[in-house]
Amino acid sequence: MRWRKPLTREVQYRHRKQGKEMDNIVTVSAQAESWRGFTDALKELLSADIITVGSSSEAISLAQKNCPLAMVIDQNALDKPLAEMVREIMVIDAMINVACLSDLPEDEFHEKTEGLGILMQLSPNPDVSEAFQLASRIRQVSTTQGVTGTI
Amino acid sequence: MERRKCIMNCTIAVPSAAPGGLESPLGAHFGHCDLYTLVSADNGEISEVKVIPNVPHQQGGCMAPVQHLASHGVNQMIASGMGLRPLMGFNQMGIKVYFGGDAQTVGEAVQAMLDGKLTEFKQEHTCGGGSH
Repeated sequence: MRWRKPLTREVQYRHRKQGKEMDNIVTVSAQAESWRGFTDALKELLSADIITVGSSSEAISLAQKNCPLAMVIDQNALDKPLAEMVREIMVIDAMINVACLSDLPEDEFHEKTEGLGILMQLSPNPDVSEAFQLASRIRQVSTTQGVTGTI
Repeated sequence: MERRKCIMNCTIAVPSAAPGGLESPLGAHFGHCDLYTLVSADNGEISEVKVIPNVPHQQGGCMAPVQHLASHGVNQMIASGMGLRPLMGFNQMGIKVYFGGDAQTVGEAVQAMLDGKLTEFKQEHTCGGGSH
């Protein structure tokens, strides 16, 4: 197969804005099956591809290559602290919206992740209603970020 | 060591308290300020000053002000407080961020920058993430 030069991030964003490329959302989970309803709803609500990986390293690799619209991270799947993982993602691409599954109380979660720009804290087993909330937030920030034309 | 001065044309954004302008106090945090003072400089001299409002944004929407400033042609930024995500956003858009340090007013901060006295705003200057 002929080698194809990878698209730059700017070109990827432009293609997405023009509707030439589907948004993709990366979920990082060790037990993705248990929140299938959430991911199916998110897929439908945002007309996005959902890519599920089970480790930090795979997630970082996709953040570098796929220019995802959002990443949904279950901290139980990580081999490092959540804040460190989000920092690594932001250094790669600050346009990626991050939501995190966590059972921490809201105040404690905020304290641990303040300044990292996390879009939303989700419950450890997010359901369809949380998919609606997250999709709504992604739509709102994506409009102001101007990176997507498909949602 | 004197840092490299801003000798080329540049547009500098400074988070400001109302009413904005060179005499106004610096806004304490980039994302939560009332407005931004935009200072154009030419060969190290201030050539134009204008004030623009901040944009409303929700939790996790901290890239909105970054895009807002980029759309106004900003290529340098002075801030006293900022989270990691907007700092990375500015860096990835080619907007250099400087740490405002002890400057009390927008004018003092801009002059310090034009004189090459401000240091680059780095990750260790960012707020949050359990660090405070």
